[in-house]
Amino acid sequence: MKLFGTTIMRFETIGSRDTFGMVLRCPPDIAAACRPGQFVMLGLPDPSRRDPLLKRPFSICRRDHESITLIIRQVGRGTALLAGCRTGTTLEVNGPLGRGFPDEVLAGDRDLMIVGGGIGMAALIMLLDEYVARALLLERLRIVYGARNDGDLVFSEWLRNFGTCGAHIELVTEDGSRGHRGLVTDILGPLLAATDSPPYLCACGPLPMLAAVGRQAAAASCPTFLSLESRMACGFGVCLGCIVRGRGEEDIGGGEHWLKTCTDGPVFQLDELDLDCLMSI
Amino acid sequence: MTDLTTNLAPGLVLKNPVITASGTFGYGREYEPYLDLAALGALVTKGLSRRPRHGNPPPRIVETACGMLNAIGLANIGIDAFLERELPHLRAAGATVIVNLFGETLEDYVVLARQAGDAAGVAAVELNISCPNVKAGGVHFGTDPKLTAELVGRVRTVCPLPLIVKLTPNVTDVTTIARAAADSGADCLSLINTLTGMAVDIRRRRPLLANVTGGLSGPAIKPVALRLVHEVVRTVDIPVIGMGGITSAADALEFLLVGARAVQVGTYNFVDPAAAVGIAAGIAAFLRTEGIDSVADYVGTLRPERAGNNR
Repeated sequence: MKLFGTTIMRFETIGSRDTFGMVLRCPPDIAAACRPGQFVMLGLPDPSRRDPLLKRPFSICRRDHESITLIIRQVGRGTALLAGCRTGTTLEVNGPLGRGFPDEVLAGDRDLMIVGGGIGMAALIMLLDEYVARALLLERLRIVYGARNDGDLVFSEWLRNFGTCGAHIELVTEDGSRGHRGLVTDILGPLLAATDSPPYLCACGPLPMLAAVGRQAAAASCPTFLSLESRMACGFGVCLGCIVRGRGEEDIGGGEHWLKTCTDGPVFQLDELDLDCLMSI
Repeated sequence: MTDLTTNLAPGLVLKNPVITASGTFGYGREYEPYLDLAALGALVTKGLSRRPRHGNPPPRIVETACGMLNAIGLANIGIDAFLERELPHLRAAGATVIVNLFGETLEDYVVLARQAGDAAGVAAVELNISCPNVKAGGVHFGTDPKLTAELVGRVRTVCPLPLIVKLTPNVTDVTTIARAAADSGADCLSLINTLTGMAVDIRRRRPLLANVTGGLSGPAIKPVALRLVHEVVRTVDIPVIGMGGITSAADALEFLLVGARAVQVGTYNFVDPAAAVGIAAGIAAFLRTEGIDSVADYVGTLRPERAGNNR
């Protein structure tokens, strides 16, 4: 059973007023089943109000044997209600859901390039934790992390630990308030050009960023996996609200092929996706 | 032991009155981690067409107060793929399967109903003449009583299965459509499909759905649904299946009280994938507490308005 009641164990401050970590108690078997890149649908407090009605999708950012951590950015009514919760509040969770990053990216046979944009970095943290847990060489790990400005680089403190252990970290802001000024692709392009053999590339962020990263990764022949974010009503493949345009064999006529972000993804192999369509959603 | 048996038509007797609504339950498979498909009164498939349909481009959904708008556009795998790939699995799982059928022409409906009728393991057919999210066909048949009568009559002649006709609330007078369907051979009516609605982004000055309009569902529409079900049960003699915003046993009981023989749970399946089974259990618990032996004894027992309230 993937549906379970939980309580909020604690909140974690992560360097931004509107973004916080929520640590939820989780049955050990469910915590152990979570894979990097998967997500949960989180119910809102006081669900008998039925307003807002729907659960919300959040990446599983971290887990230990008895909890999962979600990163929540307050952007609307639902996330405002979650921000107003206290330690001990009970919530309902459906998950883990979706297809996460494939195990091959942690095989250690290639370098690993992590590209995070804004809050999308949350979907990549567990992959980094897993990389460390498998004792892979941190010198073969590169992280490019960008946001609009310094205040939005909420994960930079967490990432510092990886950096001090040997991982190569590049911070990017659009306004230049920290790190390189510009976009993650300004940094990623030269990095990929300078590598001897193409690394695994795993990215999550705004759709236009993913489309641009995808094109660079394709040019560099990287085995690439993109984690998409979407509005969802259900999270388990029935509402058909979270579709993206794919390409491939499953076309059922008319030259179109839709993929469900929730169950076909949220992590897609680069060549499954129509990158032009990502730009237009 | 409370008797939840629900008789909807000759050959269509459900173990309980709670059915999962079309378009919110896929083809059942996705719900198997959450509930036993055999424990449902029945499940209604996603609307099936003769050929697979891709549906509308994104964005397709937007949340609104106490509900959501959707404009999926009847994306489905097509009747052939359903009968070949999905129906055997549902039969093996012990589910009572109602197939929801959607066409653009009268001929489409006739062909679909014949195929469904020939397939082993289909309990009933629900005709979707009420989807607001596609341009051709469908809803046209559900907004004109003459077309409704012609369609239901034609399908009746080719389909030996119990025939449910799903009605739209987006009409001036639902009772004329209800009567047309009942007089033309429908065994049951189900209502309501979604209410046509719209949402916009005031800063970007754009509609929030690519289709511009969508179907409103969820608790926001429950009072409208209840009123329409109440009107229809007083108009026709055939059983009515009520739906629209049901999220709890109490909600379901409201529809049963005004005269619906069974209910469908839709949007709330997204929120709580085990909801339908919980609602059936809640109905049983309520009836037990009230000292009522069978759900049929509760259906349609709404008392007239209190004398003191009459002016």
